[in-house]
Amino acid sequence: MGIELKGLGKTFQTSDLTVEALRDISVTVSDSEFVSIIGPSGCGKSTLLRLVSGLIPPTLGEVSIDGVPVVGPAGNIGFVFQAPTLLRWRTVFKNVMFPYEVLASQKRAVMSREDYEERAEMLLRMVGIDDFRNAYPKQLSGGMQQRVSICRALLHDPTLLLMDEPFGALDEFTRERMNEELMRIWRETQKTVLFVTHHIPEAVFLSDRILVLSARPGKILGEIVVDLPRPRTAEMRDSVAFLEQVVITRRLIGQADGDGNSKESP
Amino acid sequence: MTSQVSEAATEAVAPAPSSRTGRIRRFVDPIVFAIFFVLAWQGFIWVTGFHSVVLPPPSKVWGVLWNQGDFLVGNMLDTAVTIAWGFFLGGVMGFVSGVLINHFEAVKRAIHPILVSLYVIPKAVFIPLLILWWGVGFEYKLLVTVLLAFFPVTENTITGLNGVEQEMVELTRSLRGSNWFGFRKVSLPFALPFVLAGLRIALTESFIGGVLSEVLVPGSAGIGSRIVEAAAFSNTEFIIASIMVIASFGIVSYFLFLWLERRLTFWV
Ligand SMILES: Nc1ncnc2c1ncn2[C@@H]1O[C@H](COP(=O)(O)OP(=O)(O)OP(=O)(O)O)[C@@H](O)[C@H]1O
Ligand SMILES: [Mg+2]
Repeated sequence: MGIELKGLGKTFQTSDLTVEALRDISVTVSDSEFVSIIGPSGCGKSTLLRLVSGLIPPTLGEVSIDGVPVVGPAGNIGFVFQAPTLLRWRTVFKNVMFPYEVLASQKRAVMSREDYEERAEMLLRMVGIDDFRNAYPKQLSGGMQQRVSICRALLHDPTLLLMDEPFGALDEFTRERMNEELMRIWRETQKTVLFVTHHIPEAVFLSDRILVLSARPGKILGEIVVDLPRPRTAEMRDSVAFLEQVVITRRLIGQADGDGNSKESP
Repeated sequence: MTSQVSEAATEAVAPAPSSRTGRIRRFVDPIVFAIFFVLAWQGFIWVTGFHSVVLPPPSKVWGVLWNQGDFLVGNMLDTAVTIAWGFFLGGVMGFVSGVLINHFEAVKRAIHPILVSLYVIPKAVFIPLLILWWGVGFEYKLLVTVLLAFFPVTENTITGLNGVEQEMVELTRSLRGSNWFGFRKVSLPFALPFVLAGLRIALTESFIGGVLSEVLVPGSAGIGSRIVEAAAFSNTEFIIASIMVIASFGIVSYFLFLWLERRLTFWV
C-alpha cells in the first residue's frame, strides 16, 4: 500500500490545554517500502501513526492510502502499540487470535479458524514464545509481551504495518534477532511498514528511508535514504557502510535534539 | 535456548504451592479463637454472676438456637428473599446505569454529580419517605435494599470502564471492529474485577438494607422485626441468637461470592 501525507497537521485541544503535535507533514511512502520515524520524545510520532491508521482525524491536511483519502480505520492494518496492550484475561494464544475474532464477528475472515490458529502458532514460534501459548500476560516479561503484540498485529496478514517502538523494551541481543525476523517477514510478505524507533542502528538496519522529526510541533527535519544493499544480513552491522549511515543519521538527529532542548517547555 | 525457554514456561505457569499447614491454620485459628472467646464469656458470667438479662451466658443463647432454630431460620429466609431481590435488582440497575453514564458524555455530566451526592447521603434518611409512599410491606423493604445495593455497583462500574486504556479501545477500532464488539470483548472484561468488587460491597449493603428495613417495622415478616419485638421483652438471648443467624447467612454468602469472584477474575 502506498501512503501519501499532504500538509498534515494535528493539534490536540483539551479544555485547559492546546497542543500542536504535528505541523505540515508531507511524505510519500511507496508500496512495500520500509520507513522509520525518529524524533525526540513528545514530537508526535505516535500521533503520526494514529493519523495514518485513521484512528484519529487530522486537524489539517490529508492522509490517503493508494490514492483514497483515509476517513477511518481501514481494517487491513496491523498496529503494534507503544505499550504491549495485551488483554490480561486472555492467554497468549487467545491474544494473538484477537484479530481473527474481530474479523469473524463481521464475516471478514478470509481463512478458517484452524488456518488462523496455525498461523498464530507459527508467529509465536517465530518470536520464540510458543512455549508460553497458554500463559497469561502477567506471567511474561515486558519484552515477551511486546513480542506477543507483534504476533497479534501480524495475524491477519495486514498490508500496512504500523509499529510504535515495538522493540524498545528488548535487550540488544533480542532486539537484533527480532530485527532480523522482521526483515524476513517484510521480505517475504512485501508489507508497507511505518516504524517508530529511538534506536539509530535499528532504523538503519531495517529501513529504506528514515524520517527525522523535530521537537514539538513535529515537522520533518530531513530524511535519509539508507544506502545499503538488500537483503540486510546480521554481518552487515559491522560494515563501514553501515556505520557511516549510522553517523549520518545521528548528525541529523543531533540537530533535532538541539531544537528540542530549547523548545521543550511551552 | 529452547530448553531454557520451556523450563521458564513451566515455572511461570505453575507457581510454588502455598504451604498446606498455612492454609489449614487460616481456617483453624479463628475457630480456636472463637471457642476460647465463648468459653471466656461463659466463665465470666459464672464467676461474676452477671445479670443474665443484660448479658446472657452463651449457654442460654445456644438454648434459643437449639429450641427456636427453625423459627429463626424461617424468619431469616423471609429476610433473605428481600436481600436476594434487592441485591439482584440493585446490582443490575447499578451496572446498567454505570455503563450508560460512562457511555454518554452528556449523561455523565448531567447525572453523575447527582449520583455522587446521593451516594454520600446516609440512605436511612429516605426510609420515612419510602414508608409514606409504599407502606411497610415487601415493596418498601425491597426499595431500601435496592437503594443501598445500587450505588457501589454504579460507582465501581464507572471506575472500571474509565480505566480502559485508549490503546485497548484502538486495538478493536484499528481492526474495524464494532463498538459493541469492543465493549463485550475488551471494556467489559477489563471492568469486570471492579464490577464484581462493587457487587461484593452491594451484597453486604443488601444485608444491611434487608434487616434495617425490618427493624424499623415490628410485626412484619423477617428476622429484623423479630429482633425489635424481642427487645420489647428484654429477651437478649433471643436477640443475640438472631444476630448469629444473620451473621452466618451473611458470612456464608460473602465467602461464596468471594470464591465466585476469584474464579471469574483469575487473571487479577
Ligand atoms: N489524545 C491526546 N490528547 C491530547 N494531547 C495528546 C494526545 N495524544 C498526544 N498528545 C500530545 O501530543 C504530543 C505528541 O504525542 P505523541 O504521543 O505522538 O508523542 P511521541 O512522539 O510518540 O512521544 P514518545 O516518543 O514519548 O512516545 C504530546 O505533547 C502529547 O501530549
Ligand atoms: Mg509515542
